[in-house]
Amino acid sequence: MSELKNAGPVSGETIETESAVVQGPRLESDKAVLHQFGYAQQLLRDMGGFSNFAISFSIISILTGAVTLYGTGLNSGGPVVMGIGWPLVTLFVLFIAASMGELASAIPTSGALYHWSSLLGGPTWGWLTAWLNLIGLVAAIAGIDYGCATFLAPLLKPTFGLGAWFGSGSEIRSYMIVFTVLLLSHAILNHIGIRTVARLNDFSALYHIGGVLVVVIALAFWAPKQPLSYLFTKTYVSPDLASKPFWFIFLGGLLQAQWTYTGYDASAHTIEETKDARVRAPWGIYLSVAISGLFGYIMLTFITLAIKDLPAAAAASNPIQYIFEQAINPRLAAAIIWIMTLAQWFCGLSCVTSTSRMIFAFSRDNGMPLARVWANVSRRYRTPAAAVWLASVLAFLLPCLILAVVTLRPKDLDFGKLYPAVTGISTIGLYLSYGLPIFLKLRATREGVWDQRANGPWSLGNWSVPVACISVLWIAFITVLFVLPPNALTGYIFGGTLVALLILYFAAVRGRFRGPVPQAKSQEELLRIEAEYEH
Amino acid sequence: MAHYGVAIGLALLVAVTACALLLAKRAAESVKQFREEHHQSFLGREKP
Repeated sequence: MSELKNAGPVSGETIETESAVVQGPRLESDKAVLHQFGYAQQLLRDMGGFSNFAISFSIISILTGAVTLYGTGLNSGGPVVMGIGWPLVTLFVLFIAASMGELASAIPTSGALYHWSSLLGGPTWGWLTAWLNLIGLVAAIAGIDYGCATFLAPLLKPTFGLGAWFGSGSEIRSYMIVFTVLLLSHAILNHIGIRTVARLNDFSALYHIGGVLVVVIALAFWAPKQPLSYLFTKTYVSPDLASKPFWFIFLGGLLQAQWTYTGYDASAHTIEETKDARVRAPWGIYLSVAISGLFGYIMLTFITLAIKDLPAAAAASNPIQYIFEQAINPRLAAAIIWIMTLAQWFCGLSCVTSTSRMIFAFSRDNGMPLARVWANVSRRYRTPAAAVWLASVLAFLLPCLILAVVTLRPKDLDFGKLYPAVTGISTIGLYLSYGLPIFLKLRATREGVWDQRANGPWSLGNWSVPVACISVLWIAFITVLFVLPPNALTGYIFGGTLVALLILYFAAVRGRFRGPVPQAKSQEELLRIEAEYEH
Repeated sequence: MAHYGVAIGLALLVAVTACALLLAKRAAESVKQFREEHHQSFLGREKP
């Protein structure tokens, strides 16, 4: 069937996703484009452009990444990491987002990165991209929800008198209890329905902007302020890093911004649920980064200029909380911490949505063990319910695994040092999965396999190649940077994961995995599958 | 020294803003051109 000719890996032939789309009115709709790739419209296509933008904006969540890793930035360079590091990272991430937007417009399926790699490089590249993406997303859920728990547990103790219930002497116990409850709330909501989650995501985007405005207004009116030059010239390095060159420490501090800018592939993962997907999803990817960059910078500027005692703030267990408590009224400071905590909850909710769609798409193509189970769509709610629960369970297991390792070797490791490695794993996993399809598209362009006709409506034209080159170089750079000391632990854990993947590939995947698998061989079959979900 | 720091910071901010706007403009032009070439929106409606 001509409609299905683009499904599956392409090798040695020109990729013609575009020309097929515009052949006639029958193929105009989003559903028809999906049919071209051999997939039925199983998920409810109910998201508008704002909802698609909102889910990525909520996962980037400037009130999560930039806040929970603020101490990392402050100890690895000081205020210049906020003043110069943030816009520097924003610049390169914009290039990456634009390159991903082009690919989303050309290949609009929920598998997104994994499908892009499969079509451009073959099933092995697709499989690797999917697992890197999955590792990054699961680590992101764990990082976000655990980070949220570290903010929420101390707030709950005095507010609701939960100190006795959490137990005394062990912060980790209270964090793990709250972490579990947060994960459960995200899984249940994602199971119940995309409409509920989409509404919450819409609200979350506005909430984030409102939250930043509250922070800025509070600090602008009531906090003493450093001069603006403080942001661009003041440096600080924590004593344990002082032996290394400043430029190297400064680059390591970029993890704060780079970790914040993760998860915007969510707009691509929810592309099968978005109307006018080939235009709206790329804008969702690009604008979520651009608007996060703007509001994140405004927020970080005001927070950093409100620092009274830099070494004390850097040494605090929660530098953000310390800065607010020093700068403004304690009650207002506590209210702002509550606002940030709720933003982190929204961020976790969106991240579970994105991860479940990725698992759903990868399982639909038999890419995972027990694929049939994870590809199951709830007929009642039309959500990939099994994938939602798998994402949540895997995210729960990650800190449990780390906790077990720490318990086994308490003298060598401690949970406080080990857990931040999760953010590094998430950053590297996600960015490698972003970088692989961009690199493969460059390769396909050079070999003449990909040309302008293959692009979707959202395209950079002849800027595409230079923008993609810069994107790939930046991803290669940060991948090396974030595994070098003092982030060596990230390197060990990520390296171990890659070895495990390699073993899995040669033991069970090689020669068996064929990449994206069409659900049907004819449009009639696809329509029949869709009809089952209409009732 | 402080002046150099401020100058570098502000130059970087201008560069980021310019790049963000140029990339967005480029993509918007591409979408507009695509719609004009095919005389139909992606929702199947005829262009007036």
